[in-house]
Amino acid sequence: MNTILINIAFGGCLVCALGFLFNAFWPRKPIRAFFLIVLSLTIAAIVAAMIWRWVKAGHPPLVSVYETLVLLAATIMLSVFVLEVVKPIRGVSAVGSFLGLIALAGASFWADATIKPLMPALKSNWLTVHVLVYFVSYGALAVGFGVSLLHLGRSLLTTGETDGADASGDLARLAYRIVAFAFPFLTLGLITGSIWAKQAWGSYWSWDPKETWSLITWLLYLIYLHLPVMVPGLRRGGGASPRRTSLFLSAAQVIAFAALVFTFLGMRYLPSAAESLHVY
Amino acid sequence: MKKIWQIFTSPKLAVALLVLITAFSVLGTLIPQNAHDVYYALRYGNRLARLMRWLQLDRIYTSWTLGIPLLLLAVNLVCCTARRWSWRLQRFGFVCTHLSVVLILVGAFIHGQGHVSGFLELSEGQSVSEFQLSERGKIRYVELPFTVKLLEFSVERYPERLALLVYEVYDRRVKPRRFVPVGKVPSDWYDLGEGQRLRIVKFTSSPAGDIAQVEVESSNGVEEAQLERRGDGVARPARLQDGHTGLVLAFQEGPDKEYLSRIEIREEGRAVTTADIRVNHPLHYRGWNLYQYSYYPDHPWTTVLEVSRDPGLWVLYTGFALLAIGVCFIFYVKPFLRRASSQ
Repeated sequence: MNTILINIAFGGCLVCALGFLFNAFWPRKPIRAFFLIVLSLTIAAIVAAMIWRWVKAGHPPLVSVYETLVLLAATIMLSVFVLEVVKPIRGVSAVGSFLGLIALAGASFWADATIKPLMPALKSNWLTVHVLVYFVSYGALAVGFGVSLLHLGRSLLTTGETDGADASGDLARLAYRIVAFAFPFLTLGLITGSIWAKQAWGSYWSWDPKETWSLITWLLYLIYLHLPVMVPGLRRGGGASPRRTSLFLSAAQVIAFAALVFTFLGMRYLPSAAESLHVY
Repeated sequence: MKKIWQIFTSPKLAVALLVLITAFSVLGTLIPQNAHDVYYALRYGNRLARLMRWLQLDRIYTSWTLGIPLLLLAVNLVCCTARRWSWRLQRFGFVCTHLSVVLILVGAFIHGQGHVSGFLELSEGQSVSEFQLSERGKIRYVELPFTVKLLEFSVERYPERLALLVYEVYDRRVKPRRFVPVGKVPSDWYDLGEGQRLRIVKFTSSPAGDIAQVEVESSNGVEEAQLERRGDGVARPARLQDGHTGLVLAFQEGPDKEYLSRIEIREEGRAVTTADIRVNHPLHYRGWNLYQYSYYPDHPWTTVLEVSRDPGLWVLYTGFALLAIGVCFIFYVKPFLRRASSQ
């Protein structure tokens, strides 16, 4: 059942990615409405798969790499939905859906889908709070990364302060606003993780590789959010934000997101991973 | 003086310090920490190892190289907040977040200076009033203002599960080497030691039995083997070409579900309270915290508790609370206030 639902969601993500791409080049309201329905059904399929797994496992499906990748796909697609309803910009939903597709592909083809028993340290209400809060931010930040990529791509294709560049500046501002939305969740994730670590292991911070990299990710996004203060032009510049400034911001966001992905999936490649309490 | 004030109130300094702190944090995860001097000399060469020691990159998280940027950041944040101080509601988030980071750093400093943490090993029926503390490689004992008695220690496990047992046969003696979990197929490669690694390429399970096909890679090439375990429990092992490594499908003891220490706190010879200590359920008593840390699988009646005293923790948690409130205010409340005031 879980596999069927994930396959439906996988198909949904693919249809959304292609559909919103088509809609970006041929914008028509009925087409957009149709793909919004497909997007809603995709989210529903992922949530149903998670609920089914929760019932089967007897604990929230927020533990293994497989489960968190599925959750990431859900939060990415949810962010895409909210963005498409609140602030539709051409191409953004296509890129976001494609990232959701990658997350689901990672869960389906790479991660171990076996239901794992819950180890004593994870038996806490903090598990749900900490992981959900983090993945709401991860989902939004993934979409922010997609918007930044789109911005970099469009900026490279257009030269000078033309209409295209203005639209491109809109993308940089949108990416910034997405990070501004996600950052409090990222902060709450870091704080709840620290409080939980104190309760479970007796130490609120032990410079474990996962803890350190979650701090590094937080710091990089914090630096990113401070960049407009240092580089004037983006926040108050309106549509005429300097091209170089917005490119710089998008590049910074791509770096911050790379750190996020490494925090999420890269810990096993660190020399200190063997001592980590977070490599299950 | 004015110049120094300008530097310390500059957000550019804050960002530069954040970049530096980030870079040191990254280095700390790439360079193995707290290893022996010989290790660094062998791995990085004498000259680089000396430089690393001077910069304390071998213990970066307690080093002056990270400590100085953190101290400067705290000063910078205080100066920035003082310079831009305002009682306007719109500035609340700014003041709150910047001071919260200072509080967190102060709390971490107080905690680092006064924090005491060590381990208490207890067998059932045993009472102790001191715990073991390791400081710079030396062990010392710290007296507790009460006695801890272990009434009972219990371990609950999940049901046993099917796995692939790798074992060695020498002189007709069988010695288990490791278990490889049966899950995702094809599985990741598992290191077996002695230059061998293994992965499960196919696994089928039915009421009649289980069949696993595995690949073992070594310097001799890739070797394939098929393992079967019938429904009645009879398993057919396989022996690798090296002659002494065997593989068999077997049931592995389930992982820990819960472990619990039932303890009694005694003062002046009489019982004051009893408590169950589990992972995520510590006991707080007279300023001391007792955590369920571990146990010895070979001595299932002996528990290992972590004992700690954490001064400065409330400062840290206040910092956390202010940070959460401040960040939410800046990004969720302030935009509405700004919009309302502009209308």
